[in-house]
Amino acid sequence: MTPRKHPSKATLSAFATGALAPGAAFVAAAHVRHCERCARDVRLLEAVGGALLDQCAPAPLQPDALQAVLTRLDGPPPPRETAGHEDVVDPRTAGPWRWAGPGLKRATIAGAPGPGECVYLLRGGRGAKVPRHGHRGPEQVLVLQGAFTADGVVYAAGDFVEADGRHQHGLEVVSDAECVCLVATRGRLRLHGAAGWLQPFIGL
Amino acid sequence: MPLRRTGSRVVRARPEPVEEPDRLIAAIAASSDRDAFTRLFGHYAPRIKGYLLRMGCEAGLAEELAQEVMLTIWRKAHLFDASQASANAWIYAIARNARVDAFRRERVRASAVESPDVTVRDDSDARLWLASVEMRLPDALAELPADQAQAVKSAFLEGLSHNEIATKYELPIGTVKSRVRRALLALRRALERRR
Repeated sequence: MTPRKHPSKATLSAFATGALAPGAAFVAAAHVRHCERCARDVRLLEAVGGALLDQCAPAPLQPDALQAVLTRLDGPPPPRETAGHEDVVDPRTAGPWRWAGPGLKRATIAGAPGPGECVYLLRGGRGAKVPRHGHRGPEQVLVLQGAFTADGVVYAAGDFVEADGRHQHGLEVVSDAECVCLVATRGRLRLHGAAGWLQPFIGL
Repeated sequence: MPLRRTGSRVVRARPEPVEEPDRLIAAIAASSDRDAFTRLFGHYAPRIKGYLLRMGCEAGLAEELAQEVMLTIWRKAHLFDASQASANAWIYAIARNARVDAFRRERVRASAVESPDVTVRDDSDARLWLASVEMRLPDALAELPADQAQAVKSAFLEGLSHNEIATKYELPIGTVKSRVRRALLALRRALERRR
């Protein structure tokens, strides 16, 4: 699987610096994990981040911090509250699947979104359509399997699609196999440090 | 920060050699080496806390997250792959993710997603490339024009968006975007020129 549609450089930068909203970052991470080209860009950006981290002015921790951490080393890992960047989305474990229109089902991924965001899997068979719609905020879509068309362009497994708040689009599944997408959307709520990268696209 | 002189230029001393933290992480992975962990903690924990403070975390959260990041390093040491990332870059990514995750938790308290840890790629050139990047980045950063360096540092160390950088420094958004873009291009060029 070699993706042909990629996140913009601005999105990759925002991902690498932690400025991207958590849900959008979750979807971007899923793309990067399978895309050698974007992974290389992110590795360069993270190398920059690593060099800057190493040059950061040290801030002393509490005097008992090392001891506190050492006593926790062999303890059980804390229960997971959220889905991290490294998490793998498996359509079989998400759910429950709910009706999302004719031929479409959707399953929310509870731990991935940040405030004001929604992250979910969307699936449909050949011919299933999402009618033309717009967004109040940005939307990121990663095709996990199958393919769909939007505005005459075919998006296949691995492809990453970004839509802004003004853009109107509709899509239709064109693959014989069921099409499954990972989607992050955000409404009007703004996140500190996160929205600005996308604002040029939203037009705020 | 100690200084060293090269020709007429004064530059910051390099961070520790890359082999050292790599070896410590490998020792943790291989034999749960607490001594290695203690040494990593001494170097990285205060820098991680400093990074989180600069990113806008309040002091209590920065302390808590810095400790969490060190625990994650211990637990995930076996996943560290020196052919994919330098220790600095790997730890940076963990710290960045911890902050994003804390942000997520403000609203979300439950997760339905299982989390098997994966990611194995065979990329034998990458190790060499990354080693050279790691060595050359401090100098490449030091050579950036001041305005570009400031833009890049604001993005990475303060978590500021382009818009927020524009507001903070009273610059047009287009200027900020072009500075960040030119800085990253210049870094890439500097790294590839000397490869």
